[in-house]
Amino acid sequence: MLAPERMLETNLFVLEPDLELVTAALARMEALHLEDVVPEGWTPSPEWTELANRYSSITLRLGEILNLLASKSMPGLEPDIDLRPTRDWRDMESRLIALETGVQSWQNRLKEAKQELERLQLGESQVQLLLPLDVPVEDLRGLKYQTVTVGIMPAENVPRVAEALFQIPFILIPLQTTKDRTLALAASSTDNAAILERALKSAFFEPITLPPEALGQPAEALAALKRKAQEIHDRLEALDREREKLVSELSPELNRLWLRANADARLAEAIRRFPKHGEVFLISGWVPASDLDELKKAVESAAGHPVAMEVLKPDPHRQSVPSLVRSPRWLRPFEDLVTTFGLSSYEELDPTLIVTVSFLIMYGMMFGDLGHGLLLLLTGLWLRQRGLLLGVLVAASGVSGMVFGLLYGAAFGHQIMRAAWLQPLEGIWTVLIAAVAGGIVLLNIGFALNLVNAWRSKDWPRLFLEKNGVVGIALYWTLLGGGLGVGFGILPKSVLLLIPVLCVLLWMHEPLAKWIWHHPSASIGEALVTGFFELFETVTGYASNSLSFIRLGAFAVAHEGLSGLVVSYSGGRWGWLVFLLGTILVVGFEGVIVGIQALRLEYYEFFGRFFQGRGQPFVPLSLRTGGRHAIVGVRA
Amino acid sequence: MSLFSYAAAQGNIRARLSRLLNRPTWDHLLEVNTPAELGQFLARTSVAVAVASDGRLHLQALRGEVAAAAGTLVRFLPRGSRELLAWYNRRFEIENLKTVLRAVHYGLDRPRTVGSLIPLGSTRWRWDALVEAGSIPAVIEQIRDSPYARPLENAMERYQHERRLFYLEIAVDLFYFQRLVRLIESQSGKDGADARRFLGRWIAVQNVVWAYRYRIYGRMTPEEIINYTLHRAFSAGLDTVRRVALGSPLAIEAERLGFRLSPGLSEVKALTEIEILAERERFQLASSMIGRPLFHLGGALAYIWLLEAEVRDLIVLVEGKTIGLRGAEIASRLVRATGMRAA
Repeated sequence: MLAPERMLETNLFVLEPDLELVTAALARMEALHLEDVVPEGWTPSPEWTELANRYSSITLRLGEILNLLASKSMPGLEPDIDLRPTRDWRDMESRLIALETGVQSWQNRLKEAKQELERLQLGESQVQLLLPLDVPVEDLRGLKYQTVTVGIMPAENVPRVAEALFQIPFILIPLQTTKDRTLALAASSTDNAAILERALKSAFFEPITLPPEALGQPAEALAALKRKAQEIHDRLEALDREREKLVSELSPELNRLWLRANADARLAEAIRRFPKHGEVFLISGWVPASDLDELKKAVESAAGHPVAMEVLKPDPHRQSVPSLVRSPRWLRPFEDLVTTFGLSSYEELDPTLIVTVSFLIMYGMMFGDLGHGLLLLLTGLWLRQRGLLLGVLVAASGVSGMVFGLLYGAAFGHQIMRAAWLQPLEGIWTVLIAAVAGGIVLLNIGFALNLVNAWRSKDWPRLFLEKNGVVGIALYWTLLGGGLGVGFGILPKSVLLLIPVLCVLLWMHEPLAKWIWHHPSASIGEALVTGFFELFETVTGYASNSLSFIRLGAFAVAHEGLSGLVVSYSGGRWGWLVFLLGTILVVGFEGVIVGIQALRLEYYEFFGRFFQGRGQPFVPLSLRTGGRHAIVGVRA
Repeated sequence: MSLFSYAAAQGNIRARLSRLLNRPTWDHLLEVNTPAELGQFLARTSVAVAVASDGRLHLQALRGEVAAAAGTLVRFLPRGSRELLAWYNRRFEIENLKTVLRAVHYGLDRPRTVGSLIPLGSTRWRWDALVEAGSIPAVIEQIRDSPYARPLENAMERYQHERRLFYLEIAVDLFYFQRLVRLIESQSGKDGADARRFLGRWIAVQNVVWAYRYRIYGRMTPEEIINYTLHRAFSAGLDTVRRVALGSPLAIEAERLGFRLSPGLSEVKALTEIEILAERERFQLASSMIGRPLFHLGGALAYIWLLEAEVRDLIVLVEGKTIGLRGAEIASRLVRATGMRAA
């Protein structure tokens, strides 16, 4: 069980001359989660907002050139590079202008050539339509009784325009569609020109005119346009050769600049958020307590002047404290089991370890078979080899299935040895009772974790009076243990008298919390009404939550039954095929089912006792995209 | 296989249902006197995460929570419905994009704009950088890798001619809803029926409301109304839009949709009434569905709609308390039934 790192709220008062160096040192260390705090009388500095925008524009422009040249290689940032956002941009801008100028002439020629080609191709499509006519193209430009227009519109809007023109006679001919845009000809009588225009306009139709080169009979005009288009194609090929030359010349410098600009942009973006008072900037954020000394040293060595540092304990009731759990490396592949539900908050214990162990036990219990487990293990290893972290979970589930396979003595549905524990089909009651007993243990771990979480957050009503607190646990055990004890004659019946007392305490928990701890509460009447229904739900919930685990036993029995069925049909000539398909079905089908069932028990029955999962991830200031902790689970 | 995915989704939903504010809480919320008291009370509920230290409720944060909850559910669903729900969830992203476009177009205060965006945990873009892009083409350039770039570019020339933001907004909206319709139509079986019952119905009502808005507020011509609405929108497609465009009375079209409007309302008031009736219908559908086994798409949608209804009602509540409305007056504007209003 892992507790989130202890966090400290840290306020650094930094003089302006040291600001960049200190921020860069903090970003390199990746240990400060910035917090937006603006004390009375402090203001953000507009010059840094301007600088952040400047870097945003520089990175955008650099990115554009890199994209344009299709340059990809991207080495990492030099570790000891001296980053000074206030200074660096000047150099960058002048280099960027030089680079842009170097590329610009090529870019302009490329753009012109492409536009020219597009214009000619559009013209070709228009003239192609006129081929059956025996009139010069130029004579069609001034019609008296018809409105004819050719233009480009989004392809999906062509049928929409046709629907919109339902009130008038019209012609709409799609001529050519490229990249979701359609070249279309639209016509109507001059009387209806206004309606046609409105309909086209509202469908984002952009009219175009015939190229001036299109002169003479349509066939002659088309030939002239094709000749011109071929010239442009030749020009584009030459431009591509020029691009390759530019890439080899400019790429190293472009990459270097891009990485540096990105790092500077991150610093400027962070500093933009720091409030300022006179010459002093306030850097406020959360630091893991274990990193504090190192952070102090990094700040002191970076700053040329004294830096005042205020370290405060967090107040999770008032503040939103980020949560950082440093899981051991081997546990990381299992983090998704918890983070899929939510991230533990600062005051909660991270349940990844207990969830991993309980999930694997539950999975193995439902999927106990040496052979099937082995197949799952191999599948998991294959997935892992393909780079999927999920493979580790699948492989571990397979191992768990194998362990339970030994306990059940089963492999591929055959009883290959004496069961170290039992065969589920032979001991149905034992396995069902064991499943419920296991569930009771897990629920009680949940209760215990709730007590710890409530203690950590100093939530006394939750610790003592609520359904997962001391009173709730006492009621659970009086109902379960007391009931069994009295049933078997071990305990006197008077034990059961505790039940109404605990029920009343649970029912009255809100008014009691108000009375003892002045805890805010609804009116007494309302609290009693809702308390009554909650009590009813709690008592039935104890029973249903515990019995819910019976499915572990039921699936164990079903797995053995299904595997046995496959074996029993696998005799004869095609028996091997039945066995193969049956095994694939059992491993694939049941493998998924039991995984879902185990997850359901974790999320619904177990987490419901103690875990909210509404934590805020710890995302430290960093020079890198992603950075040290930047994964969903925020672990390192 | 979808049953297994839905089992996981159901587990997730059931575990989170208790976080919704219950009826006694709503009754209490309606009774509090001031926005400050409201904040104090909400700080003790499951929406505490959106209550600022000064007691103010950060409503966009709540909407961000809805987006995050839906995003989590998406991960559990089978492929077909996962794609549908993921696309449906993109409406938050689109809302932010429209906020950015408005801010850039009107030159609005940047920090305030950034503050009014819905906080979306995982997103492709840096919203604050978009707000500071300086021009609409620069915004489009920054979102070039997104599906919204193309519809925005299609509308760009018209926008540049007339400087009306409407063209950009409608281009994105139509693109979003047309794809949503296609995704709904691609669902089959129980999921398909659920998708039509929940989202199909919602889209149909939206389409009619749009058509009337264009007619009443925009005074648009029939061609424009038809071009700016959906042609395939389940029970309110092209035929309905044509009728509206040609002047069909609102009360008649509302009745076709199954809404009975109060008599004697002006078209403007009737439009508002349709919207609230539709929202109540959504809430009732979601509430009735959530009590049943949730092994299908309807369960996930019902849960998301309940979350949305909660945020929607909280917005009404906060606004009502801020302008000093009484509890009963606010209750009449909520989608849920409370002690002060039976739905």
